Amino acid sequence: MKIFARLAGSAALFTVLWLLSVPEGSTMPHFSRKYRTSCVTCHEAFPKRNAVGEAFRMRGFRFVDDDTYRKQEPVELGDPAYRRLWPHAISPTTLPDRIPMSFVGRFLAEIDLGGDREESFTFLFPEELEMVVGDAMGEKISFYGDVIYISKDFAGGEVIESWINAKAWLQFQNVIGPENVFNLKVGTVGTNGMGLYTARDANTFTTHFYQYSTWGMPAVNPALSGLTVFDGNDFTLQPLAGIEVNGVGQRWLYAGGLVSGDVINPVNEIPEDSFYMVGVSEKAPSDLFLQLAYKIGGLPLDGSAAKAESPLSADPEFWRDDHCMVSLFGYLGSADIVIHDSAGLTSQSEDDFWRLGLGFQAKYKDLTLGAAVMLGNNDNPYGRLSPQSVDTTAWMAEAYYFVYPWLIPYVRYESLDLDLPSGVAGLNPNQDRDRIIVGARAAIRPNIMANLEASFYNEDEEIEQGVYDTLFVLLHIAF
Amino acid sequence: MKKALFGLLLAVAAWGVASSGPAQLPGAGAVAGIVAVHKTRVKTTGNKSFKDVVVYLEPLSADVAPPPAAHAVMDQRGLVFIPHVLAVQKGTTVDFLNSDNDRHNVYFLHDDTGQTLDIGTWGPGQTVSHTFDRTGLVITLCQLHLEMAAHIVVLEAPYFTLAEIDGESQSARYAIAGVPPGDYTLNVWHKKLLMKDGAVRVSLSAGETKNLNIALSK
Repeated sequence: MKIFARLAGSAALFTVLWLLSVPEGSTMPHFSRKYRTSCVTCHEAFPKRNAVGEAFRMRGFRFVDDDTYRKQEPVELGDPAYRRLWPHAISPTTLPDRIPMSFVGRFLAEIDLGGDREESFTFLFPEELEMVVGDAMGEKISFYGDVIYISKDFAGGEVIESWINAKAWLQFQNVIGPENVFNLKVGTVGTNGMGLYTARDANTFTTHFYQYSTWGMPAVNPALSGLTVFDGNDFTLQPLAGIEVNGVGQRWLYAGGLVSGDVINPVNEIPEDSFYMVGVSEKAPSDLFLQLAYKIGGLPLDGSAAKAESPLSADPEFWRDDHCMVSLFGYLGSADIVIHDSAGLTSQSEDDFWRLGLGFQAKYKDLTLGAAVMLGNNDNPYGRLSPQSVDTTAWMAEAYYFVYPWLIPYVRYESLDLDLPSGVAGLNPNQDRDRIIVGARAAIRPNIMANLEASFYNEDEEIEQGVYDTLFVLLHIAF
Repeated sequence: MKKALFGLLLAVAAWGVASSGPAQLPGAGAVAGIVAVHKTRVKTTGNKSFKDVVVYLEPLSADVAPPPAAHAVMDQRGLVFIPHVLAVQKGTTVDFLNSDNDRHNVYFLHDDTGQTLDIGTWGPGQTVSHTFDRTGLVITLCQLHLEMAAHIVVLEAPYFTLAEIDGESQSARYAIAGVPPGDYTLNVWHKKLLMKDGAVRVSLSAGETKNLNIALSK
């Protein structure tokens, strides 16, 4: 019984690992209205973008020759000639002529496949409601913000928790140098730069995000360890508050910045507050991240003009873009480990950690293959409770295939290995798990998607919670 | 007075069309008039409005002028086919341009048979030509941009004109000039409406200009 309680307790923060997604407002039907174009101009099946949509995003929500594409005229806050005539005049810019707002809803049913969950059927109505704003203001500034209502049931539990979080950033485009090479972003950065470019949570077909990005260092359960507080390293690969520089060329892109990963509300825990800004930390930004990607073949990353394949032999579809891409991601950070014990003693130490990942993606006609590995090391995640550092390895392989433009079956295998210390009271040292996801995304309409997806786990047998075999049915609507 | 003014307008319109229409034959005549929307209204604004009406004459004889050597043009600009409606004679070659920075595709759906033809995908500044050798409505799509669509009306003879319905009056003037004497059927093509009383038989003598008003209804 004691063992059970210990294991259950130490796994508590894993309870919701795969149930919590990093909400990412990456679907913006406002742009359909602005350009009078279908969602599939920019998305394979939203939220996953195609090459055109990626270039549009990386250019600060602008097409090349944006004026030609735009059907809604922006409001000018100054004619460009003013600056030419009076160099010290306020720089002219534009405002979108309508509030650039979009709404996204997710409605999720969860069906227990293993007989382990408290509730065999759960319906989250809604699981998420997002209000997203974002657009370009003139040639030099773009902005983004979202407010997301989230409702989770925690592995089929009777209690459904809900809260609201938000993200916001402002980007200054083409600050110096050639076009698109040096852009400066402030706010909730890493919304697309955190993690591997080829395996981004904002760009997946699945109902839940990649395991390599959503796992967090398992915490010690204070109740089972004689502690009153264990405040560990809360880092996950989520968007974080800070500053970022990014750029894109025809074949390459980068994003890097200064952030703090020691966040107040990590995405893999129930937040303390009913409303919070994603990725905000009490520490000043001092962690570094860098994302790189290189594309071989296919359409240019920056949306620049590219002659298409031989016109009469082309077999085009909006999702096709034959190419190979490699991506790298690195993160170097530190977090405070604060421990209070029942005797009133307090200790504080630093956990220096790093992550290093390599990703690969190949696309040929209707088939896309992806693989990624993310290595990590935390030098002292448990402070005085254990001197042992923790090595981690997470990897995944995935494939999806367009059977029809509206039907995309997919499969993904993921593995997470944590070299956790043994002998720490309140910490289950065996928390490795593998997961296989099999499902399909169906585009009922370009802006209405449905998923049928099953997740199966092969975990260390001691893990009692949070890794239940489940069938998900998702309805995803954007308007 | 109104009739005289209208007659003058018809004459001017017929002359304008004749100057850019099919090759002029000695004794060619014209058919002109007003196309009016009857007991309904059509939207005449936006990229895909219902303002375009193709008014055409089908010869009852098999004797038809050859197709023009000059190419017609359809552009893709700002994710829009321009023009939205194009009328051509059978055998005409149409140049499909791409004035966007994006790739575009052109995919035909023959309205009467359901047959399809993908003529390819091409990049900015490139052009692909296609000769239409069968009459009928060809719905023109871009597989890469689902909202893009145009209508190409392929006609047997060169005796047609494209009229644009005015949003306020819900009517348009039309004039088909350069029509050789003979027997024809006057008909229209519109995305949504039909000739209220069906196609009309027209007999045209040498040099004659016939005034025929057309009512369009659902």
